Amino acid sequence: MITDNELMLMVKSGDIDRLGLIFERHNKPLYGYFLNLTGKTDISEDLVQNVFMRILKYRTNYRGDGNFNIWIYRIAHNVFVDFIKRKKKLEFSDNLNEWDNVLTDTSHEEESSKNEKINILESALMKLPQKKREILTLSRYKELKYKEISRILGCSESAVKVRIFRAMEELKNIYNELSKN
Amino acid sequence: MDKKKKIKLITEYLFNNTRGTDKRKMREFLLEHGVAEEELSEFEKLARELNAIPEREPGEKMKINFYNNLEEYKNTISEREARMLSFKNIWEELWQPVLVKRLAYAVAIFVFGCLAGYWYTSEMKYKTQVNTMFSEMQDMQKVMMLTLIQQPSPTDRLKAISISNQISNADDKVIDALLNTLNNDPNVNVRLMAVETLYNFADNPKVRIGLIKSITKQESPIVQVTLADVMVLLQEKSSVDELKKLLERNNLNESVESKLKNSIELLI
Repeated sequence: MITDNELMLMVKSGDIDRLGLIFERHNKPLYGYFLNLTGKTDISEDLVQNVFMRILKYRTNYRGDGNFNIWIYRIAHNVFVDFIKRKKKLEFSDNLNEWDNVLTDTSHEEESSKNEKINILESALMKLPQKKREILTLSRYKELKYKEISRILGCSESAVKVRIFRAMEELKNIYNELSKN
Repeated sequence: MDKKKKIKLITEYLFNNTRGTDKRKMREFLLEHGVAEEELSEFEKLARELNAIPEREPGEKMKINFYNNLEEYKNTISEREARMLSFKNIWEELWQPVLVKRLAYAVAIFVFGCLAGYWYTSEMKYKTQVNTMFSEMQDMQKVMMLTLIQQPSPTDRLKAISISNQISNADDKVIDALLNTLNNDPNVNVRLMAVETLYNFADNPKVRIGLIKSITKQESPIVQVTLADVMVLLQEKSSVDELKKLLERNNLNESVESKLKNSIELLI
């Protein structure tokens, strides 16, 4: 099977259509990544589009000698950071209350009713601060190694482990709190 | 085991895909090194539940939007490339062998024209400058000649006549001064030199008339003979009457008389 790196090198050399295959492979994980961070389906879809537009824009800078996952998630991370900056300018705040109904206001509604525990856990995740939410998302769902996460977020591997533990601790506390109610 | 190391090991245990025997050994290790079983179990449960969260599917709209965006991007790229291509074509056409040849000729002609123009302008400028300088010099010579010819010293007057030899276009003032010197100067040498100088300006009718009229005014035999020679050289037939008048004088030198007769014969 043709690798992501090979596909991206084809895109770089002008075979733009090959990006379609990369999109097919990565759009769902990326969507999940953004959905876990924002809790909004429409925003997550837009952010996925932004990632692929940014890939096209910077395709000539692609070297193809590294891990494609690191590359694409680094772009995704930057897209999200830029999104937060823009939102802050428009008085956007990471207010926990805003996330309370996030998972029930969209297509998640039906699924959340299926499993109450998952529903509570998702709510607990949404109450986590953005950075902790992001590191848990990267470590848990995308099965990225700590070394790869450290390169995506620009920190040490040791710091990644500590941050994951802290995020888990806080998530556990929020989850227990929500479970009591 | 310090807290930091404990944190790292728990994280490794929970999320680093350790399975089977390794995972069991690691759990035992953590419990042996001060990690509470309850705490670890809670983390394990949370990790399992996190893992159980189903992956959300994006709407079909996202895919449609992506392919629309991709198509739009491709069109933008094609337009840009087309623009680049047309520019490339023009560039390549410009370097067609025939066109290059024509262009080379055009450039060569242009350069030659510029050089010729530059040279011609410089030459004209130079000529104008030389002419101006020459004209100014001639004017100075005339002023000097007219000044010196009035000096009492014969040497100065000879210098004045010598200077007038260098004047290419003698004007009326110079001619009048020379004729006046020829007719009135007390010094024979000065008068002789004036005759020779006036002979140089013989193209001027005024000079010829002046020389003819001067024949009867001269007393010095040598000047008389010189004037007779000049008349022969100029083949000035209208001077015959004047020469005859001089010949009629009583006290005329014999050699002058012979010369005058001879000259009259040559002129008639």
